Amino acid sequence: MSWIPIALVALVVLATIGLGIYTTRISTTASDFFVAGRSVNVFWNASAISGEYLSAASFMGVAGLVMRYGYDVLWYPVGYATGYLFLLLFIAGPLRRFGAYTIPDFAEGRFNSPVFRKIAVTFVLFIGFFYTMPQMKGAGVAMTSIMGTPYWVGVVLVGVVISFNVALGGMKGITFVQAFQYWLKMFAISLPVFVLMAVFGPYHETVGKLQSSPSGYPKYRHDAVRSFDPSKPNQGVLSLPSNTPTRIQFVSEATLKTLGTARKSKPGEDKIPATRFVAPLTNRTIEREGKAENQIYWQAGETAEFKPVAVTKDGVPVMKDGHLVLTGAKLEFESPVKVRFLEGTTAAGTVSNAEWLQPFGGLTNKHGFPLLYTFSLIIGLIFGTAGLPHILVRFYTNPDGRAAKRTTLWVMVLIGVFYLFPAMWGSMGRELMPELYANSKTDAVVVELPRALGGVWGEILSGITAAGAFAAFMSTFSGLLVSMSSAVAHDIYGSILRPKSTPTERLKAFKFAAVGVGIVATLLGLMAESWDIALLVGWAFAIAACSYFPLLLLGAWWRGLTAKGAATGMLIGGLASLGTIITTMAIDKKALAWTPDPIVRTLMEQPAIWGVPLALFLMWAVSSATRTEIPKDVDTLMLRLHAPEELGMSKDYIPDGH
Amino acid sequence: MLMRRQAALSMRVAAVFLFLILGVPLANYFAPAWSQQPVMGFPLSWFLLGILFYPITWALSTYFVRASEKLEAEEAAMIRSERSGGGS
Repeated sequence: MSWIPIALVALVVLATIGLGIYTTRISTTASDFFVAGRSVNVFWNASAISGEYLSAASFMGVAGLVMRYGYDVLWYPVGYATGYLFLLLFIAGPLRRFGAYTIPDFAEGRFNSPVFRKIAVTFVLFIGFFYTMPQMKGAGVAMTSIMGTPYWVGVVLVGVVISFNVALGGMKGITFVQAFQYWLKMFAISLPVFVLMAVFGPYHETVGKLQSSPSGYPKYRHDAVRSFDPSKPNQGVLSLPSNTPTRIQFVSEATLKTLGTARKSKPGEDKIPATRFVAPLTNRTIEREGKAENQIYWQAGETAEFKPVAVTKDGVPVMKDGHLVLTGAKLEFESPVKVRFLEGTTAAGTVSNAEWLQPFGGLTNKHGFPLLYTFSLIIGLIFGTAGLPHILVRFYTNPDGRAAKRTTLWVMVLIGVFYLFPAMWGSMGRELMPELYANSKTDAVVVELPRALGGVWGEILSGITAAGAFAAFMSTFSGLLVSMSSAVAHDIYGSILRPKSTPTERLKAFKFAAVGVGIVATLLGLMAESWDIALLVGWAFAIAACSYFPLLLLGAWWRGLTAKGAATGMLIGGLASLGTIITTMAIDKKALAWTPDPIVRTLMEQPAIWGVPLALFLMWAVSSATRTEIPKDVDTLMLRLHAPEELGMSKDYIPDGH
Repeated sequence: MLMRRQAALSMRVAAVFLFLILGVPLANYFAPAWSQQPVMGFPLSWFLLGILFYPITWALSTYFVRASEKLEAEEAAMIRSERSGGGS
């Protein structure tokens, strides 16, 4: 039966290639390749933008994160979707009326500054590659879990298919493919959930059930086997829940380095002996570094029962709100081991229902400043969305500024409806498939969950979501590839290296650039196997929020902005936020021995709350200091950005046929 | 002139939206019990964020698109009449 998902994924890939070939017939001029001839109507364009925007992170990642962390993750889809409101309010209309091909065009044209184009191009490529790697990794990982192929197969497949499509049809070609992929993704994320709800009960009942047993944990519906490997970061530790006993069978021999408490103990609290946590328990004496040491171990096939234990201080039980404070055991393994959780036992690796449903859980409260963390996360997501170059470039494909605004409105409806679903997947996954917690495989919930139905139907629905996931990797990567190829062919080749090149030469350059960038992106994707993809997307959003968004906002609305001011704000804002995120990562990977203050740590991990104001302030301050350099034609420019088309003042920066 | 009126409109809509989206974490923080009371089977805060926020943004953006198109039409009409009135 496992051929069903393979067949459905193959169908989507073939349909993508087929549509790509079909559209080459209508895509012929340079303007077609760069901005789809500026003739895409509102419906197609809104579908295509939504298709491009809903990436692997949205299709698989958000559902998995909701399942893992609960409520706090709902901010992600809300931020992703409502970022478009700011695009609509401040950027969509003026940007389209400017009428360029790429965002660097805007940077140069707005300030008559060729240098600025170079800075802007660098940022486009930077953000583009950060955003590409997660798509590639998603494709590799998904292909592995669906078909058992090696990691590189999925990466190369998506890389080759999309580079081919983009080189063949450019922006106009992918517009139709992406629009088709939006509707496919919408179908794939919604239909299986409706079937699951018809069988297992509706969304609000699932969430309601969780709320009515706040101290409950999900229970395994099947035996779940989980592997631990202490040689990998965070993969050698098992923390057990504090409210119920857990029965565990050791599939292979297990030796412990330590057996401690899952709850972080406070100063003065008594140490809990291992025998109070678990029975049976076997000890042996081993020699480590010349000293005799006691080691806890279990033989292969042995079953042990772990119990929560009351925390005591000087022998007196610790109380909170009239209840005993309990803690589960925390097992730190010495060597790789496989563990089986028996059916009916409480799921390990997740929090209680109440913690899952309530705000300020493990995601936002990890450094103790949950409100600050949440605010900064929201700001980063919203302004990051409004500053992503591969999304912005799409606004040039609208016929005029009015259509650009209407398109944005429809995009918000299309992606908003889509984003209702990941939370449903997450909460149903918690209820129906807690095994995924044990395996740390919550990311795969959209592909795995339909299998809870069993039989052929389960496989078909799982195949549909797998196909939807592939549509997500492919459509987002095509958009990124067009935006990066345009940057190379139009900005680097056409404007910086050979300004006198003809449109035909630029079109040829676009095709070469698509293949070249496609190859680089595929190679980067191959390297990304062991990287944390959520982090890479986070980088892209943070840089976009602190660089492009301030540039476009002030560039479109403030006459006084000068090239120097804009460049200073954009560079320092973008680089400072990137720098703090990289530092955070270095601390996490223990490459940097520094423990910053929790509030500093929060601000470093989510830099938007200071990065956006910093960039705006620098733009204002430096522009005020260089007031003499305000472009002479700023009034004409502003008129062009804002005057309604019917007055005939808008003139495309790059007219058709150029 | 048009630009100023458009900017004022955008800021107004943005202010309403920011008030709502930044208000939810504040309510969660300072009124946790209230934000967890059940609404249609969901905790209130989940219902707001997981479902209701999307229609709210649709309503705000529909209002904005209508109002901004109306502004543009008014402005265009005004400038046209100035031009013909000016006899240039």
